[in-house]
Amino acid sequence: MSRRFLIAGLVLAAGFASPVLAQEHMPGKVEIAWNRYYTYDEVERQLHEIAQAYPHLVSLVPIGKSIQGRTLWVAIVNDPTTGPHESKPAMWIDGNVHGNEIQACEAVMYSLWYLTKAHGRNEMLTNLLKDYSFYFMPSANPDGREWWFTGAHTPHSARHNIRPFDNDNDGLIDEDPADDLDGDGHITQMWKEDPDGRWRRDPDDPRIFRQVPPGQKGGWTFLGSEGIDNDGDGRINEDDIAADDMNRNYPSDWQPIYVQTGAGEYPLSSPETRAIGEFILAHPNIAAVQSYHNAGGMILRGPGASYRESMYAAADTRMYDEIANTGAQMLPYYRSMVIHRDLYTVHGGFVNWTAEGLGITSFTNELWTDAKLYQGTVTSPDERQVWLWRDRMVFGQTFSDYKEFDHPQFGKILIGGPNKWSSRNTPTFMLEEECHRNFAFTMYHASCMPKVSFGRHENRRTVDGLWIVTIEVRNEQVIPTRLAIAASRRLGLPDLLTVEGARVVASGRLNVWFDRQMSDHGAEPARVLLEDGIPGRGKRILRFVLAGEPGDLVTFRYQAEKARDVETVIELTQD
Amino acid sequence: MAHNGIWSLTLGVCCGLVFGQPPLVSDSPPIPGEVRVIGRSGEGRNIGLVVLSTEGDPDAKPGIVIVAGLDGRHTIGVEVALGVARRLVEQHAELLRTHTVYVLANANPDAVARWRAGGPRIDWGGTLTPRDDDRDRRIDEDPPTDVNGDGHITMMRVRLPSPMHGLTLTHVIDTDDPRLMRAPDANKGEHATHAVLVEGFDADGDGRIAEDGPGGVDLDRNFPYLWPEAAADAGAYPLCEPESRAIADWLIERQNVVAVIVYGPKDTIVRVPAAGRMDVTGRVPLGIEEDDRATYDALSEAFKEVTRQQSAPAGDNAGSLQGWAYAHMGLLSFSTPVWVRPDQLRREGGDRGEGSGAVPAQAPTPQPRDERAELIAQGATPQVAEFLTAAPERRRAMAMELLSMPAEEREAMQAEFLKMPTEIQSRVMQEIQRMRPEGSVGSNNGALFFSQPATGRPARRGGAAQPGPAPGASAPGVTANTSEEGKWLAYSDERGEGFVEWQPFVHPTLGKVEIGGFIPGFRLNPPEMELDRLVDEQTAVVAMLLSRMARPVADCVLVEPLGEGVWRIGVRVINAGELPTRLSIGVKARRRAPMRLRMDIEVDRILSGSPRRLIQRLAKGERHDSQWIVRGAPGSRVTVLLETAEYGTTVLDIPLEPRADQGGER
Repeated sequence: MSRRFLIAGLVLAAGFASPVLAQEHMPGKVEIAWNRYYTYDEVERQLHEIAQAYPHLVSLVPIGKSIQGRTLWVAIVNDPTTGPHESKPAMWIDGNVHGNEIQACEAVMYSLWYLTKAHGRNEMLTNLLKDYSFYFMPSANPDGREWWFTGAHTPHSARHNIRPFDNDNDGLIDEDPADDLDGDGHITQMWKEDPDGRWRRDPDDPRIFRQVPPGQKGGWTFLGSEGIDNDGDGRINEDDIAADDMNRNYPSDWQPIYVQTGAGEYPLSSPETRAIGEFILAHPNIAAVQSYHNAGGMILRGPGASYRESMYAAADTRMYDEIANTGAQMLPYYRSMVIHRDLYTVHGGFVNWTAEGLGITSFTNELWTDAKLYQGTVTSPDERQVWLWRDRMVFGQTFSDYKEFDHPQFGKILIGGPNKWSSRNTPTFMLEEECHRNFAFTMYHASCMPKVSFGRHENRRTVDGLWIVTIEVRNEQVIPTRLAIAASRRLGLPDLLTVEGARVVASGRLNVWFDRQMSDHGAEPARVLLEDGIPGRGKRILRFVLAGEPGDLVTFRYQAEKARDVETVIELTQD
Repeated sequence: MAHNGIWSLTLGVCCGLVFGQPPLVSDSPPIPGEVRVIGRSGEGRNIGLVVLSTEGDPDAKPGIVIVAGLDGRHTIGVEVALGVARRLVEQHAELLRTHTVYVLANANPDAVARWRAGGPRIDWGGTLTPRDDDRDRRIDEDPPTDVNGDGHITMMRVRLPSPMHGLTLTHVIDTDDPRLMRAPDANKGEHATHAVLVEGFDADGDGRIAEDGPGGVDLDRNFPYLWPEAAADAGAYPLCEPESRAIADWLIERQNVVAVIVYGPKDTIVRVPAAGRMDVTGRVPLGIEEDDRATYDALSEAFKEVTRQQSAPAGDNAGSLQGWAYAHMGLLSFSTPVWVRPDQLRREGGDRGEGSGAVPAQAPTPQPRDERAELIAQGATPQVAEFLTAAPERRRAMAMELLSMPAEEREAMQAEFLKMPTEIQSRVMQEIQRMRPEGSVGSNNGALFFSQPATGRPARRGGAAQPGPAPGASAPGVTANTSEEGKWLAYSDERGEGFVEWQPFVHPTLGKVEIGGFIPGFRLNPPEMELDRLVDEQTAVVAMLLSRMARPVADCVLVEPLGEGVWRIGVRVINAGELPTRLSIGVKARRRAPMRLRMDIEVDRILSGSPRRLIQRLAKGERHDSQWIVRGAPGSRVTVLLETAEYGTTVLDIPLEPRADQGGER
């Protein structure tokens, strides 16, 4: 009795001490299990099911075809009762441009699934869709995804697009792909017993090969990854059907292949990148971008190269930091990082284009990190701990046992080792959590998109009968209507405030509400262009000198590419 | 502009099919050659090329491409390209047996058609893709216009305009020749008295004059090489225009192409681009690779010999087809305006006095090769050194970059600037003074600050779009007769056309103005009578290039019996041509496969030697020796192939028997 009481007390105490809550089940019209991965065919079916289940919210748009003819889908999610999707700031969310980084697709699909089923059931997400629209592209590289699922791979292959390409510049095309010699669906490793070999098998765990110190003989030689020398040039697996890294194929800071491996023929040279590029250019309302990759647990922003660091003004980096730092709390074991500084140099990357070429707040999340294997207890697991995980947590499923094989060139060898599931992709039983946390982060990011409104205004009539109207235009959200990079590099179009209903004699800006004099906007005072837009959580104060009769109605209209148009009507009366 | 009549007839005839226009005269012979349509322009015209080849598969022989008309104003390029095509067939059929010439005479048919349509011309040769030049959310709403109805859209100069127009004073009237406008010389206490802007109205009533005309994208800034990112006239992204994309796609596909010649406003052959300077990545050449300099210098000499050109207009090569073909595709490429002002030609003992009499020929300007390094050694930052040694276009671009920098960064640069030696500071200020008419750039206690041009248009379309004066030429207007402007004026006086005298006019917005200046296109296109000579010259240039092409020759030089059916085989490949088989940049670019020497027998019969040898490049006369040890019955044969992307395939059928000649000195 007392024991039960104690437990009840503990539970109660825990309830008070911690804000952790369960959620009530929110039934959806489409049920999808998030503890597994799906082929592109299956993803396409899910897309159609969701589109059919929520026809008022989702329109499924084919934006092009992959090289192998798969449809490139974008799911547009919008609440039409508050206007067409183009009229609202939109967030672009894509994944899986690297075919092997498969959970990126599930992260996008989960987001689409959750956002649609929450509509009308969850107040915050329902309201979010009143203000903003979303463009979801689950897989930017369906050919690579399909190849990764159906072909034999390492965790790292099937990253690129697939087209004839002479990877090793020897005049032959795709002449020496990897070969799944043991037919297990994975490309693993080849080992040969060799008296002079420099490797030995660990006596405690023969699955582990260790290099021996100089002077010792280990008995095994490492022959590289599974394959044969198909073209007789002495090298193995040096030219497969993969070609371009499509995340190096975007226009900003694009560099030729001798500077950036995988860059492709020219910016947007692949039909996939081309379709995405054209879609994004045709939707200047996109005000936020998230692109999912794996792995490493990172929230990455540009620039991709050190020499572009100066493009990121302090105002912009403060905003990036605010969003990313919040994200780092929502995504345990993720760190906020800058691509060139904390990862590596990237020329022609996707988010580098959207951020530096289009002026859109953009992040790349690298899903999954080994820090999540043991979570807080071990953030950097050693080899022994990785093996423990493989054996005890996933029951050996990420390892292909060594098998003897008669190799045409090397004779009797062993083939085996960690298989294509052995790194990078989230263990399936942890997938839903990873998807949800990232989904939540993008919803937070989306909620930062600009929201413009007219604030207070003041009418004053001068002794000579002119009206002086001072009016505030506010942006309550974190992201400005025009990033500093957009203003300084003239990306996109400036914001525009127009006045109708009275003759505007002069107009200008005030720095603070109490300024007595305004700046001089010059010609066309009824049409004020604001290259610098409205800052995040900020405002612009504009003043108009008008000629009109008392009671005249004057319409002020604010247009921004990355905010909804707003209008207010002010009557010319003395305040 | 008289030349347009007859020439456009010719063009219409021979390229009716290619350019989607009906032939104007039905009985003129077309160019004998296969016509290929490689794409369609923005307005739906065909982009076509003529394939000149008199024997064999044209795509299996080393090829040269001639591209003209990227800039629609440069009609002379289009005409000369067509003339060269015809003349090559008439006079050089022999060279076309072993080589192919692809002539893409009209790369921008929409712009060329617009230029030829007659009526006052806007000084713009790019595409018509809508562009909001002045970023006011209205597109193409205020074009340059022939305000005074004299048939030309020239310039307006306004003396001391009312401040209500918001114009910046940038120019003075030159004292030597009052037709010329130049920057004031601050050292002489001069102050700008005039604003100069393109002829036009304020069609949209926004208070600015002709600030947003039709178009578009400058195709020669739309290629991926050093693409001027975020410059509106360079396009939304590289190759966003159907014209540039069609050319790029075709050239990427055409593996046998060795060289690309561009006829357009900018020269890169009389003045060979600087060697060994790299972009910000340290890998992409700003000009050419150091190892390609000798090849280019030799070609430049030959080109100058043929054309007598001694100087030619340089220009910013960023985003250009020529730069892309070289630095990204790894091909031999150069551009030429085809025609230069007579005083830019070498004089030959007065035998061709026409045109060169009035203005003395200018000595070629020596290009200091490592000026930049010297400047850095003297304490200039790399940026400043680059600024001082850059071509005017690039300089302007750098100034514009500075303009768009965040304030704190600009301040940091200024602080750095003030730490540099005063000589360097004053040189920078001098250069900035020179740029004044283009961008209204001023000085303030040594700190740099920049303001926008008086209007959107004159700087871009009136000035910068035209080739700027060559570095080393005197600053505009120091004395009227030696500045580039002055030389053009002297030439127009001699030619009797090309410059509209300033005429007073009462402008509806600006009030009293004067309208006049150079007629658009005048500085690009010669009088009609020059066409024949130019076609001759450029035909000779192409023939010269074809006759110098690399010629890799493979021979079996050794069959040595080692006994027991084992043989040592030696094969030698020699480049018997003048040019290297591939430029140094070609090796770097990896866009074409290297030459392959392949021992085509079962791999296990090869005891020594790789079955495939890659030969990256062979300079003139350079030899590459390969040996294999193979097994084979005496009297049987082995096959060795030399396979190349550009020079076809050579098959050596080698009998395994001792030879008298074993490859020594022959």
